[in-house]
Amino acid sequence: MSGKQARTIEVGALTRVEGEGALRIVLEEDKVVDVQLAIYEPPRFFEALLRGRPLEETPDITARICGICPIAYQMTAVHALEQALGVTITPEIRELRRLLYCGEWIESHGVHMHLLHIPDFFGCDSSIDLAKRFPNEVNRGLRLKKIGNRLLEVLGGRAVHPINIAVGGFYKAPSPADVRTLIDDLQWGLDAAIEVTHWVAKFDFPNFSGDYEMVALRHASEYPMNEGNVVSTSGLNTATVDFENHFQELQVPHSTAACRQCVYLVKQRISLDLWLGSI
Amino acid sequence: MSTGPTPGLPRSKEVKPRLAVFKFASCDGCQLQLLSCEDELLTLADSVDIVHFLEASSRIESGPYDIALVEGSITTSADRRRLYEIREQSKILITIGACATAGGIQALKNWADRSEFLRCVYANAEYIETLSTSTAIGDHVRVDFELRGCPINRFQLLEVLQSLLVGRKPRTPKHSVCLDCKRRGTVCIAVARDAACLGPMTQAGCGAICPAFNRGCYGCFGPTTQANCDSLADWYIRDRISAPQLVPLLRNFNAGAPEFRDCGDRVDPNSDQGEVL
Repeated sequence: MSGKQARTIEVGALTRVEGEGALRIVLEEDKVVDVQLAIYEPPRFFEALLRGRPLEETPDITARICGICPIAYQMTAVHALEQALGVTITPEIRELRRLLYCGEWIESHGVHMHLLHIPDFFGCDSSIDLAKRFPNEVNRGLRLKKIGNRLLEVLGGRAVHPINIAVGGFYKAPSPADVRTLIDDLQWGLDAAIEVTHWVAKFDFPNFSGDYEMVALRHASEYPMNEGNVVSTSGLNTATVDFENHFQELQVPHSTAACRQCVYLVKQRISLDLWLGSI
Repeated sequence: MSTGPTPGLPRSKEVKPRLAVFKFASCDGCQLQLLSCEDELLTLADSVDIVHFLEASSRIESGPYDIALVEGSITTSADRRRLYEIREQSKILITIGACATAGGIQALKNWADRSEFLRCVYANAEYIETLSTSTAIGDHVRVDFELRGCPINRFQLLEVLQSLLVGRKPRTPKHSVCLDCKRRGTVCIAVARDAACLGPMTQAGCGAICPAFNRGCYGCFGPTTQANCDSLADWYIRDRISAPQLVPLLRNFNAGAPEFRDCGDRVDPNSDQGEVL
């Protein structure tokens, strides 16, 4: 063969991801020369439609940005409004919110691992396909997911778009009796999560690293899932309220999602790395 | 007595109905409800052939489909064309959730200026293609069954799929949230606590959770059958909240549902259709 052979790989729809995207990869011989990720979700204009509405509705409306991680938006909304209003929440509410967020993490990680990503490691199309080879593992994952949902239901009223999140706290405190019903399942879930970790640790992960700036939250004394400073691998350490002074939105013509100016990665693992690095 | 699946679906036991899930402008929450059938998911996968469900499977087959579940609203002309193709390829089309049945929260742009909304959110508005409205699936194509809710109730979804498989009519309640409050034993917060609760005009399906959590219903399941929205709205405005406070409550996740839309427009002091109350 002579000259540079250019090839383009077009993936019209990425599957088993939260959200919608397409991927275009241009190769010259075997070298990747261009990659475009196009988020083709139609815009829904949340920033615009929230204006002029009662502030109490904000956690209900922002939840609808994503049905898989509504608590993330609800928590961000109430934190922002409480800061703006100068409202201080009690330690009990802070703990309850953290527990509620744990419900979403358990549910969302259960989905992410068992229904979205693990099938790729075994060349399966879906978790249903995967369940033919690993029925116990898939059922264990589904049960973990269900426990996360149950926690969301007890504290939040329902799993998708919980209705119990208010600026300043909750509409109603959960009854201790209802919360106690979760203990056995959560104890089983802790053991199951450790088993899942051992299982996943044996997978064959591609050896890939790049020159990225990684961004996460960091908290002085706890795993930073709902509170902390914004930190990065290049040494950034700033309060969340200053986020916009350090990050700039950038739009690209092929995508409806606004990108951030510096390429950065946000992942739970990175959060863990940065947190471990801080203690 | 039912003698087999719904007409149009495969009658042979060896051939499973082909199920497809499609998404338009939405949050993914309604299709997630299918995956949240944790105890039933693998059994369901034995009864239907899931041939197009991007969120859950890399198996992507083209039509025709026996059952199409459609989430989301129509906000771009490309999506409108895609919907026409899906309708053509699908024997039974079921809309799932408030976006698909009423346009969703993004239908608030129907009351706004499209270019102002674009400028508010995007620095380069010219990169974005969007219609000036967010509309329900039923505004564009024939819909065979509507599942309400923001999000839908997963047990209702299972009920609909099961009904199709055995050829009976799905039993999804059409009564108001009030009846479910009575069943739960929740004291009426509209009566006892003067809350502006949309329960009397909203279809059941959520389990009447908001009043049980000390807050008024905000209408996730859309208007109930024969809802007398105007009467309730007038009573609330007379008795407890102002019209400007009631309008956003009527105009949220089911803003585009005709009964909520018309009632909101009528009481909206800033609307052309508004009456002075």
